[in-house]
Amino acid sequence: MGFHVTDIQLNALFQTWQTNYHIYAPRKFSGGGRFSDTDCVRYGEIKHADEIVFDKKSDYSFKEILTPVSQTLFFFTEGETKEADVPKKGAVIFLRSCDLHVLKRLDDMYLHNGPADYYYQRLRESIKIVLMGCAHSFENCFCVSMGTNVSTNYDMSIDFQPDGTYLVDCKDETWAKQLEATEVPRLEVIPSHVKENNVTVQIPEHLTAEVSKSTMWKEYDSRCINCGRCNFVCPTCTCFTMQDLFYSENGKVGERRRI
Amino acid sequence: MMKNDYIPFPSKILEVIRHTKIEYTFRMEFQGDVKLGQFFEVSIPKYGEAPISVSGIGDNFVDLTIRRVDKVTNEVFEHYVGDTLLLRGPYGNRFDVSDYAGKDIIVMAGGTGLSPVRGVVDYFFNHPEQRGHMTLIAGFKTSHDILFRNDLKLWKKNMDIILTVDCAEEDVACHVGLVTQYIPQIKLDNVQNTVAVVVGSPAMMRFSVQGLLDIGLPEENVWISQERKMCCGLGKCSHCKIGDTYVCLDGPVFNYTKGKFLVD
Ligand SMILES: Cc1cc2nc3c(=O)[nH]c(=O)nc-3n(C[C@H](O)[C@H](O)[C@H](O)COP(=O)(O)OP(=O)(O)OC[C@H]3O[C@@H](n4cnc5c(N)ncnc54)[C@H](O)[C@@H]3O)c2cc1C
Ligand code: SF4
Ligand code: FES
Repeated sequence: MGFHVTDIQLNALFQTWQTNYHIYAPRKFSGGGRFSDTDCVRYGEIKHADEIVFDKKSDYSFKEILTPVSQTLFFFTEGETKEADVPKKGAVIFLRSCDLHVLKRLDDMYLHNGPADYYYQRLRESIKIVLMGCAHSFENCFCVSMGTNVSTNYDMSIDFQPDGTYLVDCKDETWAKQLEATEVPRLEVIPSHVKENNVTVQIPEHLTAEVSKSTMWKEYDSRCINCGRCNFVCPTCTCFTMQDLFYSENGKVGERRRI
Repeated sequence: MMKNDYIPFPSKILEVIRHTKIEYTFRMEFQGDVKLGQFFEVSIPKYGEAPISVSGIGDNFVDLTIRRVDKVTNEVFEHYVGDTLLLRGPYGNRFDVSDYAGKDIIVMAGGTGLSPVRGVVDYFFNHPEQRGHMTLIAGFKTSHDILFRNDLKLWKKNMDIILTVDCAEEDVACHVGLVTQYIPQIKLDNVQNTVAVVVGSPAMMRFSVQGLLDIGLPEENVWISQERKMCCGLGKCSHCKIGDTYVCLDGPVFNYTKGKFLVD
């Protein structure tokens, strides 16, 4: 169901979401860039529509919301373990179409490769997705080549308009009812998506795991210093390791984390 | 309720069997579904986790034969009968004894590699009617490193056992040399009806399998068990991944037709 909403109406919707959800979207972190006096766009919690950055791509993946950089699995005391609490609220996450395809890959790994991952599943079950339309392609985007430029499995879509209003397509019935009740103009909305990128990637036919033996990786190997950052950069990477942290030197009390 | 596979459960040490200075079998209290070839994560808060194969299964216990290496395994050795350890698992696939039933069986084990196949050997020791001729070649560094001495004595009753150590020692009644040297001594009737299970270090497995293929065993008659560095055991962390295979889920037991690709 499509609507044409103003920022006031959108903020009112956000307000109701916040009872049960944290809202995560790409936003600007002033001075948070990799060089001094530069900014960075990455995922963070937002309260109002004007905090969302629409005209730039996030520098980091959204995946930290579902697979936190450091996540406590359980606490231990002598001989006893206690599971870390479930976050009290769910999350509404603003994603681009390519990110939504990433989510499928994360699901494949965490939900379907072997038994479902307990910690991922309990977060995954309490998220809602807002698709951010892409009016144009960004630097280095190559979604068209990958067939990830279109997504339809969202709870709501959002397109920022030059006049400061928003076009939304709402699939979530409760949210749609809320918007209907405020009598915002209704119209058919198809979230914008790109049909071409500046970058075209050709995927070799018959690609198999054999490429892991390609000499191409030698260059990566020779420069790798085991810092683990690639794990954050690649949105589909699910690799982690576990670490035990103890609170006192006798070490009987602490927690196990995955990092 | 979703199951939380990451939280270990307490398990009491029922018995400790000492094989060598640094290799003990810990008989752990366990009731539940577990199969030969699978492994548990011994999970010790503060120290971490170590994947350990099941070396024996009983009604209310599993045997974990552990070599003392470093952090986690050192801490395991600080525990004794009556103490409790934390475990997760069992994980992985299994040795399916029906794959070997009715066949002549060769088991080749190097060092602690005997531990994951111990259950298979013991099964066919107890069910000789379910197999043809059986040969076990077990190799250890020195006579002090020999594991499962009592089992080896017992198994001798109905199978050929070739026990070998790497270098000659005084007063030791076993063969000398690498396990591969003894492949020609295996009594072979029909290679098509002979199956082999090979477990040991990567080099030991490579040369042993080659030796078996050389005497005519088809690749599909050979099974190996892979030990890879692991973390989650659940197909999530990718520590054990080789190509598109997750050793913790798809293995650790592989038919050689698949296992031969798992080298790096
Ligand atoms: C499926 C599987 C089954 C195993 N079964 C047994 C078993 O039945 N009995 C047994 O004693 N051991 C077994 N191992 C090996 C055992 O898991 C390692 O020896 C153990 O993790 C070492 O832990 P640590 O903390 O004591 O030493 P660490 O501090 O982790 O490491 C000590 C040294 O051992 C090496 N190491 C660490 N983990 C492994 C590993 N998984 N494989 C090879 N080398 C490793 C390290 O590189 C380091 O050099 C098995 C491993 C796997 C993957
Ligand atoms: S244009 Fe394509 S690749 Fe770029 S952000 Fe949008 S969906 Fe992602
Ligand atoms: S050990 Fe984590 S994926 Fe296999």
